[in-house]
Amino acid sequence: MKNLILSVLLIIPSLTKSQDPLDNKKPEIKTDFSKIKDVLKNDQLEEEVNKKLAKEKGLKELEEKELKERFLVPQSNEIWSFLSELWIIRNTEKLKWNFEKPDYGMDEFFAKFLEDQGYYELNFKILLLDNSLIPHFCLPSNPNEAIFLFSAPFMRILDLSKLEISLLLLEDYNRNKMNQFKNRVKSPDLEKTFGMNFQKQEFPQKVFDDVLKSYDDLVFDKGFNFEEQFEITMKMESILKSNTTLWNTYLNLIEKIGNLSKTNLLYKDYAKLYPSPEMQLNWLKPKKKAL
Amino acid sequence: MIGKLSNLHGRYKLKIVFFLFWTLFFDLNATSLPVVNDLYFTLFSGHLHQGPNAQSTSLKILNCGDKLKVITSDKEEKTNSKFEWVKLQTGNYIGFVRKDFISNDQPSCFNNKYLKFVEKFNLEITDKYNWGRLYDNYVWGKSKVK
Repeated sequence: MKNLILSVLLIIPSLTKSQDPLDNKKPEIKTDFSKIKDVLKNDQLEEEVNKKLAKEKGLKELEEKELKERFLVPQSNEIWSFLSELWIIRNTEKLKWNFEKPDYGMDEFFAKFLEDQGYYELNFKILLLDNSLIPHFCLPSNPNEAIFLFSAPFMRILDLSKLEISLLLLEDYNRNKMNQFKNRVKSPDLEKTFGMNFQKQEFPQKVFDDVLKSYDDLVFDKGFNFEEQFEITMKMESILKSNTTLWNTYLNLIEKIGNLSKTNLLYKDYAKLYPSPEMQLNWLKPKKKAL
Repeated sequence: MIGKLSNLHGRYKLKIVFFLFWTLFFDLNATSLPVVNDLYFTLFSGHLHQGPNAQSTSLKILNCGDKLKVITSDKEEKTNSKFEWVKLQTGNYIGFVRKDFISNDQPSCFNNKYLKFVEKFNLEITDKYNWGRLYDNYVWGKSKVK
């Protein structure tokens, strides 16, 4: 084999020489190229070259695919946590979440509480706010995640126990599971953007700006409506009524919040965000039968 | 004669190898150089803290996928935090990050996967700083598997 390759290497320069116009007089050497081809074939060089080319092509295609993927708008199962956290970041000063606070041990308590109620494998993040205006919210997030906002002054003024805080978080979580928040902030245009590729078209910036604006409207101003509030109250009844301790704690909690919103000017807007503790109690308490 | 010489040469070789191995082994033990591993930061953004505490000064903003060298030392760092903190190095900075924010495996990062999408929101350095602070401020938890 080596001899063959050597002979091929010796033949090639002589061939190039023969093409020189000055050496026209020299006799032509006829080479059987088919034999060289056979040699290359036997050495599997052709295969190697093809493999290398295919690999290079594959790599190029992969690079193009990766580049294209980077222009993708995330799907609905990946986008919400990003949007909610972006909204939190954009409202850092308003929400006042960046402050030192003691460890209330809510992580362990709430995890255990969720497990007791049959909510498993839920990753939750609770952000305490040094703000009286936003009592508690659960922001839209990716599946199996929950992002909670909870006001520390609200917690202190009502002297809420860990169980009461957990009940409010559970209410907010279920509100989210019922898509009450998402339905208020997402537009049909937003849904169209999920998974779209904007490499060769304009990025729908306005759609996302509008979503973040809708977060503002809902959290800082409008809150939820009576219909949504009725839905969640009934849901909570179905979850808690079988457990007397939880049920009574929930009823007392709503009463406490109702009294606060009536007597403390700082919390007068609570009933606007969550209409209304009084109505909730009416929906939940058994009706007195007329004699 | 040649045989003897080569035998002598072989013995010297063996001694030199043995000496090198011995000195290297004892040198490592004597100076207790840190054992260094590569780990990755897993969150969207975060901070390399000066001390093992979420309120401690930020030395550097970290991004998801940032490679970090973990420095393990014999001395345990004293911390009031209930979380485990890891001492690590990135570039010229040595600081602390919560153990649950780092991973041995390269994470799948939102900011890398959707690079151009994230770029469209023009996140400034203060946004990245605040995003890291947000993760420091969260109360993180998880309910267990059924």
